[in-house]
Amino acid sequence: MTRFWKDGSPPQAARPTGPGRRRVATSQVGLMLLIVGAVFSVLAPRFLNPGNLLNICTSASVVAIVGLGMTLAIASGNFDLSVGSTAALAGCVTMSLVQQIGVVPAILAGLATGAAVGLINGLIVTELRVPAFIATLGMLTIVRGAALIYTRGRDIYLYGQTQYKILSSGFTPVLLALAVALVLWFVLQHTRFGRHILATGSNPASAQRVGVRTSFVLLGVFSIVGIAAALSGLILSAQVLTGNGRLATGLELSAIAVVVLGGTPLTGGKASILGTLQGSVLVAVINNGLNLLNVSIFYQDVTLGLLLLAALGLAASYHRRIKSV
Amino acid sequence: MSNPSTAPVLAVQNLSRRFPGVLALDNVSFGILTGEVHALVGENGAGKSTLINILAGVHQPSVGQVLLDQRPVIFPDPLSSQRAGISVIFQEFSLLPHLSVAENVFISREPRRGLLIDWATMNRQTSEILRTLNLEIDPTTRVSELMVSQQQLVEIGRALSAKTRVIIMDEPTAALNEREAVRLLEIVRSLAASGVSVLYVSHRLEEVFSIADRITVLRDGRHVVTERRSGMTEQQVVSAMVGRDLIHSTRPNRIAGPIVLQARDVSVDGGLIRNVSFSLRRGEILGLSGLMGSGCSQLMEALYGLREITAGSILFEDRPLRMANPRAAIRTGVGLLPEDRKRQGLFPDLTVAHNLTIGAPPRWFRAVPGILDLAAERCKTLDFKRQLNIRFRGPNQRISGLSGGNQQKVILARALAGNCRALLLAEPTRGVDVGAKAEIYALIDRLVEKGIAIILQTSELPELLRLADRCIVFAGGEPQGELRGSEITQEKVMELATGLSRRATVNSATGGVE
Amino acid sequence: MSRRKPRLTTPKTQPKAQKPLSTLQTEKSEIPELSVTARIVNQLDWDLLWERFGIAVVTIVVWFIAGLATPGFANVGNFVSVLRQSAFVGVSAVGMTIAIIAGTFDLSVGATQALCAWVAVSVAKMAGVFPAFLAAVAVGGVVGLCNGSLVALVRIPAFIATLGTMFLVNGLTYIITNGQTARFSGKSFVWWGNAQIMSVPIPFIVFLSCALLGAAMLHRTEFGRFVYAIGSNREAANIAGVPVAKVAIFVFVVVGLFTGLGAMLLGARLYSAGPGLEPGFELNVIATVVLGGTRLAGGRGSMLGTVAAAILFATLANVLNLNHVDAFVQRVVVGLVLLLALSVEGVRQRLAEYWSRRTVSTRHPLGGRRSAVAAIDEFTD
Repeated sequence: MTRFWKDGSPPQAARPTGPGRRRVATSQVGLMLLIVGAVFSVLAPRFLNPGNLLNICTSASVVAIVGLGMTLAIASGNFDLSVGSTAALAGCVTMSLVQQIGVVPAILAGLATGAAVGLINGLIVTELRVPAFIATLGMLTIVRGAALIYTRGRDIYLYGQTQYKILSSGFTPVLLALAVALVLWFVLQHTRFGRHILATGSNPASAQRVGVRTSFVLLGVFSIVGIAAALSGLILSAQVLTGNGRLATGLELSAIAVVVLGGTPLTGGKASILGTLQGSVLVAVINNGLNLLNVSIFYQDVTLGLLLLAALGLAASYHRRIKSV
Repeated sequence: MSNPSTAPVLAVQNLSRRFPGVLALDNVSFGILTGEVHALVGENGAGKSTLINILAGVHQPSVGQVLLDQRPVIFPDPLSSQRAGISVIFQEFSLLPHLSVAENVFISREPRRGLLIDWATMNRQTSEILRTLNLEIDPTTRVSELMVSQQQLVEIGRALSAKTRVIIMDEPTAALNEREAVRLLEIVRSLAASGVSVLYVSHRLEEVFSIADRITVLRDGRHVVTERRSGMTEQQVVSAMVGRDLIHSTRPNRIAGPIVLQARDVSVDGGLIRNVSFSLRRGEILGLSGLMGSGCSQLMEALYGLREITAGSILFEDRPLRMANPRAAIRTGVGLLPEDRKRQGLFPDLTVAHNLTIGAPPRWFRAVPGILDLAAERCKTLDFKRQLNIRFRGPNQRISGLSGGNQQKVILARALAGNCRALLLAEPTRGVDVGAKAEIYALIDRLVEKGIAIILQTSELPELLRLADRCIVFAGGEPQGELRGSEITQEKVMELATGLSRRATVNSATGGVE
Repeated sequence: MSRRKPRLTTPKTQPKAQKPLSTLQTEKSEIPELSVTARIVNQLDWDLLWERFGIAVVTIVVWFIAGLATPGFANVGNFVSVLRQSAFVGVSAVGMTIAIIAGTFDLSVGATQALCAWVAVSVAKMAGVFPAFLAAVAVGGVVGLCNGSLVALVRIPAFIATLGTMFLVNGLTYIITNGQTARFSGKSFVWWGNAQIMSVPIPFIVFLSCALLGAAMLHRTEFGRFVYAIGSNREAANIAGVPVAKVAIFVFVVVGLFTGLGAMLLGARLYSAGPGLEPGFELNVIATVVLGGTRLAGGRGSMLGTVAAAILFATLANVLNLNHVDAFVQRVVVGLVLLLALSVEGVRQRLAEYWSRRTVSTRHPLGGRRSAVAAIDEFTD
C-alpha cells in the first residue's frame, strides 16, 4: 500500500470511455515501423539485405520473449527489473551444464533457474509486501551477483557445440518468440489464470474482495517472467556460445520499453501481445539501422531512452485529456 | 420459541469494534430475516460502514459475534463471507473495469471446459441473469464502458450468480438519477420477494420508507431501535438518528453585511454545473444542498480553484476572480474545509502543528523566504487550540491520535490561519461525534459573527437547518431554487433536490399491517 | 393499526429486553481496560524511536561485534577508511532521503554520478577546484531538473522516468567522454577526496555537513514542510495550498545537486572518472536511505538514520573485505540488506493483520497498537 506518485487522482468508479485506445496505439507503432524502416532502407544500403533482416528478427525475438513476459507483469500491475540478471544467470547455468548432462536437460535447468528467480521475486512481493519495482531492483543486484559468483567472474566457453547453437541460429529465435506470444496470448484470453492476471492489474483491491487469489496469480506471473527472461538469456548465450555473468545488462529497460511502445498501459488491466511484438521489431530495427550507419552503441541507448520517455509522455497527456472529461 | 420462518438468516450480537482512538460500534445487536428488505439508517459516523465491513469479512469484531442461521461464524476474509452467501455492494463497487460484464459477474467462478473458460456458457448465463434485472446489454461489453447504474446492476448480477442469501447495499442510490433509483428499488423488492434478504443501508428516508420491511437505526455506534416500517414515522426515525430535539440549538438571527462574492451565470467544467448565480455577504452562511451528484461539491471545488470555471463570472470583493489552483485561492482570501478529511485534509504522519500551519508556515523574517519560525508556529498552534477548543496533548502530538472532531477543528484552523474572508465548508461535521458537532456549530456561529462569509455544503439536512441563513438547492448540476430563513425545511429542500413535489409514499401515515 | 412494542425477533440469542421506542436508551458496552504496563508500552511511539535511532544502535552493535570478531578492524586507519568510504554514497543519500520522504525516488543517480564525476575531473584539470565543484553540482542540478519536469509536469511515474533518464545520461556520458576516462591528480583537487583533518577524512566531513544541511532543510524550512506534506498526502497538500509541482521539481534538483557534489568527491578520491563508474550505485543509495528508517511510502524519515546506515554499509563492505570476501558477494549482500530493510515494513503489516484476525486483540499487551497510518486507513466511517 505504498503511496507513490501516481498520475493525478485516486482511481474512480469506471466511467464510460471511448473505443479502445489500444487500436490507436498499435497502428501508431505499425506506422512508425514502416516509416523508420523506409528511412533506414534508404540511408543504409545493406539494410534490406536478407542476412541483415535475419539479424533484426533475431534481436527482436530476444527482446520480444522477455518483453512478452514483462507484458504479463505490467498487465498485473507490477514490474520486474531483474530480468537481465535472470537471463545472465540462466545462461551461465545452462552453459556450465551442457557438457555434463546434455543440451536439452541443460536448457531445462536454465529455464528452471529462471522460474526459481521469478518465484522468489513473487514471494518477496506477495509475502513481504515489498513494492515490485524495488524488490526486483534488489534482486537485480543479487541475481547478477549470483551469476558472477557462479561463474567466478570468468566466462564459460563451449567449443563447437553446434547442437546448442541451434537455439540462436536461423529462424529458431523467431519461432520461439512467436510460440511464446501465442501461448501467452492464449493464456490471457482463454484461461481463468490469464483473466485473473488482468483482474489483478485492473483493480487489485476489488479483485481481492471478489475472490481472485491475487497472491497466487502474482506468483505465477513472476515465475513466467523469470522463465521468459531465462529463455532470452539462453538464446543470447547461444549466440556467442559463452556463459558470461555480464550478459544482458540493460535488458530490463529494453523489455519495459517494448511493452510501453506496444501500447500496454503501465497502470495494468490490459495486455497487448501484438503491441509488444511490434515494439520489439521497432526497437530492433532502430538499433540495427543505427549500427549500420556506424552510430555508436551509446547513441542507441540514448535513442531508446528518448523513445521510452516520449511514448510515456504521450500516454500521460492522453490520459490527462480523458480524465478531464 | 422461535418460529422458523421468523428466524433471522443473519444477525449480529453484542457487536463492538474499537479502533485506536474511537469506538466505532458499541454493543450492537439485531437480525435480518429471510426475504426481507431491512433498512439500516444512521448519520455519518453512526457505524454503518464498520458494520458492513464486519459482515463482509473485511474487519473483525473486537467483541461480539456474527450469527449465520443462528450459529456463530467468523469471516476472516471477504472470500469466506461471500462463500457463506453474503454479498456486499460497496459504494465504490468491486468491479474490474477492464473486464467484460460476464467476467465480472462470474469472477473467480468462471465456468470452464477443462482448462479453458467456457465463454458460451458464461455469456449465456450472464444474459439470463441480466434479463431478470431488466438489463439488456451484451455480456461481452467492457464494464468501464457502462453507465454507473448499469454497473450497479452488474454488481447485483454477480451476487445473484453466487446464489447469495443476503445482499448488503451501501447507499445504492447515491450515484443514480431519479429514474434509475426507482428501477433499483423495484429490483430490490423483487429480490426480497424471491427470498433474498437485502440490507439496505441509506440515509434517504423517502426510499427507505418505500421499500423497507423493517428499519434499524444506529447512532454513534450504538443500536437505537429496530422496528417494522409500519410502526414508525419518518419523524421518529429522524429523532432516533439525531438523538435530540432539533429545536434545541437554533440558528441565531444574523444581519448580513456587504456583498463579498458574486457569481453570475457560472458554469463549471464546460457544463457539469450550469447557470449558477448567487451573492454571498459578510456575516452570513449560504447553504448548498442536494443529493449526491447534484453538483454541490463540484461547485465548491470550482470556487477553490480545483475545477475550471468555464463560463460566467465571479467577483470577489468587487474584483474578478481567477483561480488556477488552491494556492491562488488561499492568497485571494478563500479557505476550504474539505469534504473527506482522511483523503483530502489530513497528513496522518505529521504533528498537529505541521497540519495546522501547512497552509501558511510562519516565516522567520518576513523578508527571508523559506526559513521557519518554530516558536511562532508553536504559538499559533496553541492560539488556535484555545480559540477553537481543540483537545490535544501538545503541538508535537501526531494528528492521528486525535479524535475525529478535533482533527476537523485542526483543519478548520488551517483554513482560518490563511486569513480567509470567505470560508467554504464541505460536510464540516462528517465523521464527528455529536458533542463535537455542537461545538463546531457554535464555532461556525462565532466565525460568522466576526464577519467571515461562509458557504456551507452539507448533505445533513438538520445541519443545514441549524446553520444556513439562505440555501440553494441543486439537482442535476443546476440550481433548483433558493430558500431563505424559515423557508428552509427538510421537506422543501427534498422537494427541490429530487425535482418532484412530495408524494405520500410513506405508509406509516395510512397504516397497514404486514 | 396497533402499535406493538419493538421486539428483536431472535429471542434465543437476545439477552436483554428491548426498551420501548419512547425512551431510546442505549447500553454502553464493556471492553476490557489495558493494564498499566501495557498502557505505558502503548504510549511510547515505538515506530518513531526505531525510525530515529534504530540504525544508529545497530551500527554501534555491529562495530562492537566486528571489533571483536575481525582482526584488523579496530584501528584508526581502518575507521578512517570506513568513514571515508561511507561518504560517497552518503552525500547522494542525503538528497535521496529528501526525495523518498516526498514520496518519490530517483533511479538515475548512478548515471548522474558518473557524468558529474567526469565533469568535475575534466574541469578541475582545466580551471581548478572551485569551478570543478560548480560544474559538477550544476550538471547534477540540470539532470535533476529534467527528472523533476518529467515527473511533475509531464506526469510520468517517477520510477520509469528516472529509469529512462538513467539510460539517457548513461549513453550521454559515453558519448561525451568518448569512452575515455579523465584523469587529474592536482594536489588541491585530490585533497578533497583523500585528505584528513585530525584523522577525520574530508569526504566524511563534507558528508556530515551535507546531512546537517539536509536535516535543516527538512526541519527548518518551508520547503521541508512541503516535502513532508506531499509525501504524507499529496492530494491534501494540493488542497492546503502547497505548490506541489514546484516542490517536486525542486526535490529532484536537490537530489541532483547532492549527487553532483558526491561525484566530485569520488573523482577526487580516485584521481579519475569515466563512464560506467559504479554499477549498482542507485541501489546502494536507496538501500542506505531505507535502511536508515525512512519509509518508502513517504511522509516520514530520518537524516540521522541515513548517516548511520551509510556508515553501516561501509562497515559491512569493510568487514567483508577484511575477510577476503568476493566483490561480487559484497554486492549481493547489499541487495539482501535492502530487501531485509524493506521487508520489515511488510512483515509488520502481516503481523498486524494476523493479530486482527484473532478476535479481541485488546488483551494483547500491544493490543490495538498498529502504525498510525494503518489506523487512519482502517477507520472509514
